[in-house]
Parts: sequence; structure tokens; C-alpha cells
Amino acid sequence: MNDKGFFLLETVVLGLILFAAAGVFGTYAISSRLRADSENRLTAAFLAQKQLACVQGNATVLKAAAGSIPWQDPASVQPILKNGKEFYIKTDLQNTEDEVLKQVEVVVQWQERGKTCQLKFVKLVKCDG
Amino acid sequence: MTLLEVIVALPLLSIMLLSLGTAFLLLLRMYFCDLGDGELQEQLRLAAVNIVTDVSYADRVEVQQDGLKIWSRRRSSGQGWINYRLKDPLSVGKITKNTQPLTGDSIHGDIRITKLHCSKMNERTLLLEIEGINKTTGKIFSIETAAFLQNAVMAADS
Repeated sequence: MNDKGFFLLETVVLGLILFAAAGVFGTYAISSRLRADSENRLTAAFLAQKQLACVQGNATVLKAAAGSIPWQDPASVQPILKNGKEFYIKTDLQNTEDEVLKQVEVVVQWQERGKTCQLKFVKLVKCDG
Repeated sequence: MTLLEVIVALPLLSIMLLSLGTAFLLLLRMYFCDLGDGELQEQLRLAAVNIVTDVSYADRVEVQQDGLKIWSRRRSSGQGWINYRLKDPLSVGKITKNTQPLTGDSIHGDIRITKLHCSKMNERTLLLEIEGINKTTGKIFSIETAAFLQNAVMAADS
């Protein structure tokens, strides 16, 4: 038997142990990141729903000409700080072929690990009061 | 393998296995804490979706001090109204829909709803804020949204 150095088997076993440890850590890191992502997406989706409902309930805004609409809740200003994140909301009102219907587009943006993420919602809204 | 090699290898192996085992248990614990936080998120989402849907198709909505009362002709059985309440925010912390709990206990964490705030923005828009905490991790999560009343206007505040 050659006593110098390691056997191939020893090296392979050590490699497998390290690989398994890295796998466990990696899986946890990914699941944790996904949960944080889903938290931000959920918050953003509900903020967009809020803006859409407020626009729908505001006849003055709906009767205005097409263009940008400000954040509708007077109790908060942009960026909206929610669950430890800052959310920016852009809303656009567009005319459609049908005079009674208008298209409302809400885009919610936030920063995540240095990248800008966004969710976009589009809804057709009746504007005859 | 000499005795000296065994004496050196065994403690090294023990330290390696112990640290790997500890790290694994720690990760497992953090994973279950994360599951609890996810459960908190899911309970708030469920409550918000339920309330917004009921308000959207209501015939009449009344904002009350500790909740919301919604009248609807679409309810085929029982009384014609739905009552959303926040039950004991300091101890139990559950949202109830009439007498049934809408949010509840979870094996993943001690989840409590701490805030159910409804306010009238205008005659046809209801603002809603729900906040909850996972007491196990201390994680606080809140949802802020609004509902547009498709068929009705809101009753005066009681």
C-alpha cells in the first residue's frame, strides 16, 4: 500500500460530503430568497389593486383626458414604504375605441438586490359614472 | 494507519461532523421559521381577497369600529349580511367572517392578526389595511388595498 497522499475513494467521499453541505445551504438560500420575492410581489399586487379601485371610484379622474394619474391615496406619498420596501406606482389612463371604456394601466416598481422589479396590471374601466 | 493518525483524525472528524450537524439543524429551524412567515403572508392574503370580493359585490357596506358589515342579496342561505371582525387582537388575533374564523392557527408559527382597519375613501371606495405578526419570529407583515363597490354606495359610518 502506498501511504503517501490520499486514495481516490477518500477524496471522492470528502467531495460528496462538501457537495451535500453546499446543496443544503444553497437550497435554503434559494427558498429564503423566493419567499422574500413573493412577499414583495404580494405587497405590490395589493397596492396596484388599491390604486385601480381608487381610480375606479374617482369619476373626476376617469373623465379627465388620457395621461398620467397620480397616486390616489392622500394619506401616503410616493415612494410607498410597505413591509420594509419602497414601492413606486405609475398609473396611465388611455382611451379605447369604446367611448364608455377607458384603459387603466398600473405599474408597481421596487428594488430587489440592486435590480428593478415591476408588476404591471391593466384594467378596462367604465367611465359613465 | 498508525495510532497517531487515528488520534489526529478522530477529533478532526468529530469537529467536522458536529459543525455540519449544527449547521443543518440551524438551517432546518430557519426553514421552519420561514414557513411560518409564509403562512402569515398567506393568511393575510386570504383575508384581504375575501373582504375585497365581498365588498365589491355588496349591496350595502357599513364600516364599523371593529370591522365591517356587508349586505348582499347574493347570499343564498342564512342572513343577508356578512360581518368581518378582528377578534381579540392582543391575545387571539383572528379575523372572523360571521362566526367562523377566517384566519387561524398554524403549526408553523404563532400567527396573530393585529390590525383590521377599514375606512371610507369616498362613496364607492373602501380602503383596507390588515396587519399580522408571526410571534415565533417577530415578523410583521401588512397588506394595504382598496375595494370598489360595483353595485352600491357605502352607508354612513356607525
